[in-house]
Amino acid sequence: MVSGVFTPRLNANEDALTLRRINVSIGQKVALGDLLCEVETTKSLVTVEADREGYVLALEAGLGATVGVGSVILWIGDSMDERVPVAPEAPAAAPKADMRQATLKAMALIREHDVDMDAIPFTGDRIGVADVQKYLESRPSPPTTSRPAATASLIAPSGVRARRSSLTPFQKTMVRNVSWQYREACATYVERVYNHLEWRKYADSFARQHRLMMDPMLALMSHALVRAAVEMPLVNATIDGDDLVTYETVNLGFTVEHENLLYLVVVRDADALDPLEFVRALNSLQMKAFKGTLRPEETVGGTIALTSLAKRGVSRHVPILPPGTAMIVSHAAPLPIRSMEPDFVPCFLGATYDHRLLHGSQAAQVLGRIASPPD
Amino acid sequence: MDAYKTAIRNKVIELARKLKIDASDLKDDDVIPEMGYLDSASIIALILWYEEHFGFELDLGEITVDSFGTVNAMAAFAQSRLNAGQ
Repeated sequence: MVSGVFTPRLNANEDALTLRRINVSIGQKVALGDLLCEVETTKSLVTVEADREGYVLALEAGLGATVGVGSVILWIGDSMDERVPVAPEAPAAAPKADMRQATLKAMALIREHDVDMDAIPFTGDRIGVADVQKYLESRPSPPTTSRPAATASLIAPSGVRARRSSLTPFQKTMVRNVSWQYREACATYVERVYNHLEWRKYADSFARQHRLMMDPMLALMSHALVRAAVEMPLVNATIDGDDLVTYETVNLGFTVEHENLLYLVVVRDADALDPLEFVRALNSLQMKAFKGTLRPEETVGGTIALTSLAKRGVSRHVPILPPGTAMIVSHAAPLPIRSMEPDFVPCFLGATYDHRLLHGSQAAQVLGRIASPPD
Repeated sequence: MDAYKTAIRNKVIELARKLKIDASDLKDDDVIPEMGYLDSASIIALILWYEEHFGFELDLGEITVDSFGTVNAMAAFAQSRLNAGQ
């Protein structure tokens, strides 16, 4: 059974609250009483707890979003296979004669531009988006430089035949991940060239030594990233409000593509595994992804990540930071050019990193530790 | 046994073809991971097909070059597992 977690009413005068913290992610198993999120009014910050156990199927609002009282914040189901219903509209609140009201979208715009609500002229019974936009255009001062709302440019063009449908849980996860980077992290990219041949020889030798069927190169590069994260704890961390959260274990996220879907499988406690154990653990998750038997907990909780588009022939790419991570490393196909140096096959190794936590030199140091195989 | 080998060989050739690689000259004692016909994803696909085709599941520890590296090895492994199950 699927049930919604609704936005509570915290005081009689506020019909919308701001989602200040989300403590769960899609696919996470929750128990009765687990902390799900925190919502804020103008006067107070309140926690929302799970009223049942189950899996988080979908989030209906992102961090910082304005959510109407009575609307669904997230959905919980007995299993990840259950279908998420269309969120019901929040019950309409009766406008008060002596109080200015605004639609939720208008309220989001007001907060985004830090506008005094009382200064906005409006017609009708409440302030609408058009009223706010008109007011912003008429203001003598230049607009603020804050980022526009993620949905502002996503309005479908009118007059074009289109079909509208709910996002799948996979698509919602993608939106959530990309939105986190856009709204929260200060994502920056750095890259360097390394010798693909050196890693190729090392991985082939490792495969022969351990009689492996599957190419261990990417797994071994991922393990090198894990070792770098152990040596540089700031790489294995994130920022939550005013807190620095340093993870005590390294959970390596690794993208697996199967039937045009990308899974981020997570090798938990990867820092406790030696290279062969790590290769086997990752291979096992890859097999499960192909079989469609991944458990929800095997796709969440990554603290650092590696992704590769080498299979697609891509020579460089800038990946998106998974929420709650400080770095994701991108691996690509060798460049189709010859090096002046013999036995040097150039290949780009890149990293998207959260510049709130790391600077470029630190990110480059991590790449430096992965650029060559272990001695 | 020959039927096993033919089915396995054909599957390797089919998977390689999807990667635009011609593996039609694959010999039964060629070491598949060393031939460069299949990438990691294709080897996973080969293993999953093998499990389904022969009707048994494999432990990850069983999937080594010694038991799966060649068409001959894969056929012999299937034969021994199916005999043991009878």
